[in-house]
Amino acid sequence: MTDRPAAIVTAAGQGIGAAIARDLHRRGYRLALMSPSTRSIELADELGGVGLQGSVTEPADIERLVEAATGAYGRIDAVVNNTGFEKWSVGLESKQPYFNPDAKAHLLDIPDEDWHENLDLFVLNVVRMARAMTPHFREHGGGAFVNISASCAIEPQSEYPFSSSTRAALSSFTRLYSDKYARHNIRMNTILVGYVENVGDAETYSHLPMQRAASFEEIARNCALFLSEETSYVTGESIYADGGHHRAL
Amino acid sequence: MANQPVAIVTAAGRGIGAACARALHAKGYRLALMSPSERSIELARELGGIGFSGSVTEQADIDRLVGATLETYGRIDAVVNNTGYEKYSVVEGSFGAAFNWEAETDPLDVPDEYWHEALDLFLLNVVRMARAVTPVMQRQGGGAMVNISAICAQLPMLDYPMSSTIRTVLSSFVKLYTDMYVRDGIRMNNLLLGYVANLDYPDEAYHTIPMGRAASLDEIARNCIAYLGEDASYIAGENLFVDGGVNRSL
Repeated sequence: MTDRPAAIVTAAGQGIGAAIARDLHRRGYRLALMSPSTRSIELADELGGVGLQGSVTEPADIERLVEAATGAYGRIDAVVNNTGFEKWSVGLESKQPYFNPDAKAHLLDIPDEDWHENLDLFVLNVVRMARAMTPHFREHGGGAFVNISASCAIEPQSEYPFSSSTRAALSSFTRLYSDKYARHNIRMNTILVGYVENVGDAETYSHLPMQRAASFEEIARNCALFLSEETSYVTGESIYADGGHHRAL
Repeated sequence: MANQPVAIVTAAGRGIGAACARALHAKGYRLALMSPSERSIELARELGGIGFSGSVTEQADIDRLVGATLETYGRIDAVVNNTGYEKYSVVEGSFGAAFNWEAETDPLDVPDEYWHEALDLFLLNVVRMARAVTPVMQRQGGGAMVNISAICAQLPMLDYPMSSTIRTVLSSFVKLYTDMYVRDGIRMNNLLLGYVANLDYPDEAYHTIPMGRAASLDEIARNCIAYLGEDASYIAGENLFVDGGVNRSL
C-alpha cells in the first residue's frame, strides 16, 4: 500500500484537473488536491485522498498543500500544476484559429494590474510550487512536474491574450528549471493543450486536423505519461497535445 | 525640415539607446528621447531634439513623452522601445551555450516582486508605449516600432532568468499586436540581441559566437533603423535575431 506513488494536483475541482486526479487515482496514485472551491475536497473524499480549498496565486495556500501532502504520504512523486482560465479570454470568436484582428479581447485595453495578476496565475503558480517541492524531491532522489499550459503559449492566438503571452514565460521557465534540476533527477515538462471538449463547436473543429477537440480524459492520460518513467529522458519540454493543430516545426 | 520623420527612443541615455538616437539623427530623424537619468536630455540638446528624464515603467512618463513629441513635431513615425538591464543577470556566467547549471542564479531564488518588476520593465514598457502611440500612428496612416530584446527570450539562459522568461512574453505580444494593428500600417518587431560590445566578456565567450566577436553598438543601431524603415515594409510581428549566428533553432 505504501509503495503507491503520491501526487499533488492543483485546480483539481473540475475539468482537466479533476480528470487528471481521477486518472492518477486509477493508476494507483495517492492524491492531494486543491482548488479555489470546495470541489477538490469532495473529489478527494470520493477518491480517498487529501483535499484542500485554496488558490495557486497564494504562496501560503501552496505551502499548506505541500505540508498536507507530505504529512499524509511522506513522499511525493509527482506534481501537476493545473490552473484557472484567464479573465480576458473571450472564448473562440473566429472560426479561423490564431489570427483574428477583430477579437473582442482588446489588447491595449487590458490594465497593467491584470497583466500582473496573470503572471501570478500562469507563471508564479509554478515557480511557487517548484520552490516548495524542489527540496522535497531532492531529498527523495527525484520527482516530476507537469504544468498544464496552452498551445497558444507558443503560437499566439488573438482571443486569449494572456495564455498567448504570459504562458510563453512558463515555457522558458520550464527550460531554466530543467537546466538547474534535471541532474537531481527532477523532471519538469509543460503540456500545451489545444481545444478541449469545453471550448469550440463543430465549425471550429472542422479546422483541426483531428476534426475534434481533446477529451478531458485524454489530456489526463497525456499528463500521466509525462509523469511516468516512460518519459524518463524528457525534461524541459513544451509538448503539444493539440491534435496536430500547431504549425511551427 | 518638417518632412523629416520623427522618432521616439526610450532608455536613450547611453549604450544601445544612445547609439540608436545618434544613428536616427544621422538618417535625418527628428528625435524625442527619454531615460531615467539626465543623459538623454544632454544627448537631445546635442542632436537638436527634445529630451526628458523619465522611466518606461511609468505610464505618466510615457504619456508626457508622447504628448511633448506630438506638440513639438506633430507626428510620430518610429519608436524604439529600449529598456534597462535585469537586476538578476549574471554577466560572468556562461556564454553562447544556453545551458549552464553552475550559473549563480537559481530561478527559484528570484523573489515574486522581481518577477513583477521585470514584467513592468521588459513587457509593460512596450504595452504602455503601444497604448500611447497606436492612436497617433492610426491617424497618420502608419508607423513602426522596434523593441530591443535579447536572444534569451527564445533561448533561455540561467544567467538571465528574467530576460529568459518575461522577454518571451514580449515575443508573443509582438505577434498579438501585429494581428490587431498591422492592418493600420503599424509594424512592430523585436530585435533579439546576443553579445553586445558595451559589456566585457571573458575570452572564452567569443569562442561560442560564430562571428567570434560581440556586436558593436553602431551595428545594432543600423539594424534597428533598417527594421523601422520602408525596406522592411512587409516584416511585422517578427522576432529577429541579431546575434552573430549564436541562435541554433530553425
